[in-house]
Amino acid sequence: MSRFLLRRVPQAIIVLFGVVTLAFLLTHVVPGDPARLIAGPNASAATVASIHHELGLDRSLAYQYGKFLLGLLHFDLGTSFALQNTPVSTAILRALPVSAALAVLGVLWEAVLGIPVGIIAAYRPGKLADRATTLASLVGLSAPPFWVGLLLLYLLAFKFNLFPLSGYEAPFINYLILPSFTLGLGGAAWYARLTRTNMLEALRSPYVQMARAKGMPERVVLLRHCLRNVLSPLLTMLGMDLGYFLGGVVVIESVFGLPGVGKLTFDAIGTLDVPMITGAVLFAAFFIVVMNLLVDLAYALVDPRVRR
Amino acid sequence: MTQSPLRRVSARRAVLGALLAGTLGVTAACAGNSSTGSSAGGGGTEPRYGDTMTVAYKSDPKTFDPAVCYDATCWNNMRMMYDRLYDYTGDTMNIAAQAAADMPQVSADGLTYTIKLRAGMTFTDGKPVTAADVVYSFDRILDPATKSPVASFWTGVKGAADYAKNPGGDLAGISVVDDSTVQIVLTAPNSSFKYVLAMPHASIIEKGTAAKPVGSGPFVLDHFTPGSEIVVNRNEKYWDSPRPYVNKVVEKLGVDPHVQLLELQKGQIDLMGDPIPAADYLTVSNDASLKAQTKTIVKPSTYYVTMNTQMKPFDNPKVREAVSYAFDRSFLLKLVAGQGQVANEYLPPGITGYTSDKLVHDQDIAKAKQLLADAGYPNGFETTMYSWNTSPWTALLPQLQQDLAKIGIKVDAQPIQQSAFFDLAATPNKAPMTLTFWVADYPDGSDFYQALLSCAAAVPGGQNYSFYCNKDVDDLVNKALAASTVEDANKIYAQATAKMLADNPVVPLYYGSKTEVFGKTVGGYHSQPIWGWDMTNYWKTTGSASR
Repeated sequence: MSRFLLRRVPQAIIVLFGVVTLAFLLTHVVPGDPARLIAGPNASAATVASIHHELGLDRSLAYQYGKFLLGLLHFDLGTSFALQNTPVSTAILRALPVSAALAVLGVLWEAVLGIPVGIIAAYRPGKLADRATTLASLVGLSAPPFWVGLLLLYLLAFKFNLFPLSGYEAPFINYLILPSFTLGLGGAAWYARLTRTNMLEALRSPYVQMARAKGMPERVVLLRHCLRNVLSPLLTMLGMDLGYFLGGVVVIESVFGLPGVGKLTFDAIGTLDVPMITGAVLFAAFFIVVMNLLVDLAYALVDPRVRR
Repeated sequence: MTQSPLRRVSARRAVLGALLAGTLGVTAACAGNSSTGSSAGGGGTEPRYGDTMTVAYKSDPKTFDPAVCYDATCWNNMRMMYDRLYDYTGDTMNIAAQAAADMPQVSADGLTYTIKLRAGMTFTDGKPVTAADVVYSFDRILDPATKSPVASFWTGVKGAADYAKNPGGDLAGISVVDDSTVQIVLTAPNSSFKYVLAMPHASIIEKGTAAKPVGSGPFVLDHFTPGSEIVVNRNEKYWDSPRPYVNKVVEKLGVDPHVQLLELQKGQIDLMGDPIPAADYLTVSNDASLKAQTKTIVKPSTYYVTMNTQMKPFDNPKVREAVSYAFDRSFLLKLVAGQGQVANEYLPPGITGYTSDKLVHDQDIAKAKQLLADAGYPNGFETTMYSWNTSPWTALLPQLQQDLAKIGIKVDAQPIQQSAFFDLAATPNKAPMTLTFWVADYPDGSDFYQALLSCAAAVPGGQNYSFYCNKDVDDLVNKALAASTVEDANKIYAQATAKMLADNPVVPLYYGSKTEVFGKTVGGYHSQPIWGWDMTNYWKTTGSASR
């Protein structure tokens, strides 16, 4: 186990390093000048130059990168360009709990909605339930989340007063149900498909025939024998999704006005706030890498073959 | 500010412009609908007191420091938390004394402004508002350490350049006469300078409080929770008592504009901080119940096409003249849902210098073709036109392309991201044509001319995308600024515009307007063409009859 970790942790660090470097470079390559955006597009050249200097943008890219890495070693992500005097880490840590709550609930919705549907579909492939599921998951996959979000807001919050339209205050759960449901709905389609495929495979295996031949009730065959085999790919996906969502869900957080990491990133991109973008990307990558590692670790625990 | 190195203009205009652009395309009101004078607005005519006004914004304000404020969110907050010497009244483009006791006393040579402060004003911490505070607030703008995006409005103040180099010293042009009198000396007469004193960044803060500005405005900041809300409370000691009428203003942050509209219809918020999204315009215009809660006003703005006079083939005046005959303005207006009115000259109505004379050319394909042939382009040519990649530009650009194709000019239409547009359009010999616009910072023709068409602005990084330079036009604008009466100024500006449009560096298309919706329980609502909300004068109809 420790050998496994010894191999994977440095790998994870290298990946993070690569992601950060790429994010840093990309934000510097895109057209548009952060200083000009801060000063306003029409500020005098002198103002823009002084902001350039202030932000260190007049130094070489290598110097800026070195300075950024040095800060990173001290867990210093720099200061936001756009939000005056706000350290990037403060802003992200403030937003993180919102994104975390959304991520956990979103993943729950995915599982709760997707898995049962997948099982039902697999039970009688080609029949009405299966076809309906395939169609529904196609719609779920294709519908853009911002549209689904607005639709749900309109129906459930505007028409039927079941949920608040926007905001984020105690009791927080009221503000999280709709966005996490929207988030889960799109993902649930993937889960339904994954469950269905794996269940079908499991249902065809000899041990299922054996179980059935023994006269076991279908419920037990499905849930105890088959579902167990399906759980490991599902867990992988849940872990990955959680990591992905923790990094912030840009569109959903913006539609529902949740002050999470995604909204922060969205605003930062609009203002070319380089430190904030880089910081947000680093956080997002960090969660994905960590969840990846955890998922692999879980595998390694269960399956000795992986440890080699 | 005639000698001011141009490139003035505030960034807030760009932000505001973006907002306006957002609204455009969405509103089918016409100029005839625009309200003038101080109508009572919705929800009763008798002011009521107390209660809370709730508003919503998409994004957080970037700052609470007036000297660097440029986004629409902070801009509205400036008006609530601080006073300026002058402020715009009602829905007009006229200014009236606010922290000043009266309009400025201007010396005969037009250079020295002496301003008495209103007696008895105090900051929200109880200290009196003195001339030293005003000087401090203005000096800061010119201090490079403040990084004010609007410093260029003040470069016509005597000694401004020296001060910028040595901010430790005194700014010669802005001084304390006595505790309640401020004197400002300019380097050249500028009849529009009074408007600069009414701009958001000219808000007065208590001396030495730049890090956490203390104001004397109608409201006091209670708290700001980033990403969540801003709450301001009524300043109970406000000089203009019994105003402000409401006790509290809650600004919700991070609310999508679509959702803002839903919340407004539901009565959960009273005012939208962002424009009505284009997709929701029909909802608003077809909703009979919202009719009484909708207001449309003309924005002092011009949408126009630029031709780079330094680039071939637009260095040929005949080619530019040909283009001036290419566009069908009424049709373009249809593409933005009739939001605005067809331009008859370069300056928009309501601005000092506007003339109702028709100085632009209607579409005349035959004439345009003839001019192109005379210029040596009987078969036209190929060129590129840039604009922002947002509404309404993306709606207008293809039509301009088609109109130009009719006279033989093949246009590669390039809608691009805003900051890239500014870089490209402001770099010499890069952008042959652009489709752009301008919203007045203040109601004076110089605001358009100095920023957009002066020789001083025809530099890299400037806003003169035509790179047009005509000393005669510059001189006329300076003369207009020195004119002793508005009538004289109007006449001189009209001459300047006729002279400029004869050279056709730009083709004015239309003037914009903006539509706003307000909540059912909002009283005294009026839009403001230059500023944002006038929260001091709005009330909630759910309030009580007396304080």
